[in-house]
Amino acid sequence: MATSTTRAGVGLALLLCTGLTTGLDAQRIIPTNQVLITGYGTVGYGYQTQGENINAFTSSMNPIFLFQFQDRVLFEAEFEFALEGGVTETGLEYAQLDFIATDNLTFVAGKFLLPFGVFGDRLHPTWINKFSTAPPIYGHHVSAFGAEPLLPILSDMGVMVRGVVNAGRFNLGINMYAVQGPSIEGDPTEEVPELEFLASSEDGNTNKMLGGRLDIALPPWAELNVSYFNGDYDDQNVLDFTGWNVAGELRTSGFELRGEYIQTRQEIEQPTGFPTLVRQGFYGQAAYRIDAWEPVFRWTQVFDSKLDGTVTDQGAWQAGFGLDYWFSPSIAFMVGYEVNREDVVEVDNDRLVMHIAFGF
Amino acid sequence: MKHSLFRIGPAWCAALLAITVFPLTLGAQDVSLVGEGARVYGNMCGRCHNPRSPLEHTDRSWVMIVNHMRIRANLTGKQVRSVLAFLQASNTDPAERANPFGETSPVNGGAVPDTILSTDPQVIARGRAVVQEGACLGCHVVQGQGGAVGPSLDDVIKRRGVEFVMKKMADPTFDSATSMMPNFGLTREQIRAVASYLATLLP
Repeated sequence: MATSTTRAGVGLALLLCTGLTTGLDAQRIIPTNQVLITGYGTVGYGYQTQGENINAFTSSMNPIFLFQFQDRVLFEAEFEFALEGGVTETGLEYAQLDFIATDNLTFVAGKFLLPFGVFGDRLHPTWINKFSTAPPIYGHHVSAFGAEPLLPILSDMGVMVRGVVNAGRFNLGINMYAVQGPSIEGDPTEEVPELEFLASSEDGNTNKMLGGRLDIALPPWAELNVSYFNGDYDDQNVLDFTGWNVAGELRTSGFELRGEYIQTRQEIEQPTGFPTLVRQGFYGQAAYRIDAWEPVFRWTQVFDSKLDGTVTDQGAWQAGFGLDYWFSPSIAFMVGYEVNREDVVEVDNDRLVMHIAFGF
Repeated sequence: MKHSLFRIGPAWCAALLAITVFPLTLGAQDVSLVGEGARVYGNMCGRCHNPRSPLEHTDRSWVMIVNHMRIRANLTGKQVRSVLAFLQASNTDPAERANPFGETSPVNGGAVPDTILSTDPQVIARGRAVVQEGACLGCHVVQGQGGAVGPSLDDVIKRRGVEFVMKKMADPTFDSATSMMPNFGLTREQIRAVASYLATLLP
């Protein structure tokens, strides 16, 4: 515990020094105190006859509230309203305070989208994500995929610092954060404890998860991101969880190719020691814009889960075929067909999904 | 059991320190702030989503939105200011504003200007000035300079024809509702001058 706290303290102190040494020299844009509501709404339809019987319409709305105080402080929050059965579910996707310290440095506190990979941080809004469902390795929203998401987390509570510099044709960014992290869901004495990646105002232990992402962007053609996420997840601060992500993107003349790889390593307590459960998978997505039409193909693969080399869960794959039609830059009709298969068990979870996404 | 974060953490901190304390300014583009903003807008915002029309928000709303996106897209303050300059210069209905080059009678979207090109050196020079001093180079390459968001203008007259090019300047969305090219409210004379200048670039 003390070691982790020390590490976090040293890191944050160094970051604070960084902010102070660079000086509060950001040039002001205009003084302003105001509010803006933006966001996105989605209406959709899903059809699936195998595995789970789905034949239903869906609707959700995600308003984003922006409150700006002068030119250095921004409070931003995104809510999600959606029907879950007959009940309107509400969610707080993020609620964060941004302090723009310098041209190159911003401090963030609260509940924020985790810069682990790029999907949760940048691509999850339905009008930005070019397929009707999220990549199954993230598992945001309902998935018919045959395996558990590798890191089903969108946002978490904590503090973050984001640094960026423009070096000619490159933008280099580093994000570092300390958050509550996952905790054990259900029975902690299970052989392989199930983790709950739920942003909460309570922490299951005294340890904070530390993580960061390095961004190297060569706009508009390419970007590479490397993310790391680590900490203890049990209430004794003994068992370790680590996540790695490598994401990349290539773009040219209407063609876009992106992909992300995730590996997680979870220490398990057993009488014989602390073996590690390793899970890994990736998705790759290609899209090609032809006027207002954009065909999309996404392949997702989750490999077998292994505990010290022994398979504990079979892998699965998904092939997604989609076609988007853009009415405007932020309004699109997206239709997709998912082929979902598990590696060993022949389970047909194929489904048709479609929605109209409206960014406003 | 314990892992390598303790070794990696200082490296992250050092890298962050390096890029924020010693910011680099290599290869700055020689274009106007608005033009630079157009280039950054297309390049950086277009990484994740279609760039939205500048007409969607007011000047003050864009201030908050660019700060919101500054966090998401990891933009520098300088890039944010240029994007804001571009959006605020492009978000007024061209029929209701004075055009950015100080002339009156802007083309009201879609009207097709006179397609006869001029060979008058003064008209061509004026067209060149509009291209060089306006925001064209933010997104388009002209004679090796400019951004890569839009197509090169060097041979655009040959590829698309004079009428298409002039219509595009008058109403950028006439051929595609999702075009990110803003309407700069160019006058008929400016459009004709630009087209005349671009015609001189053909081999």
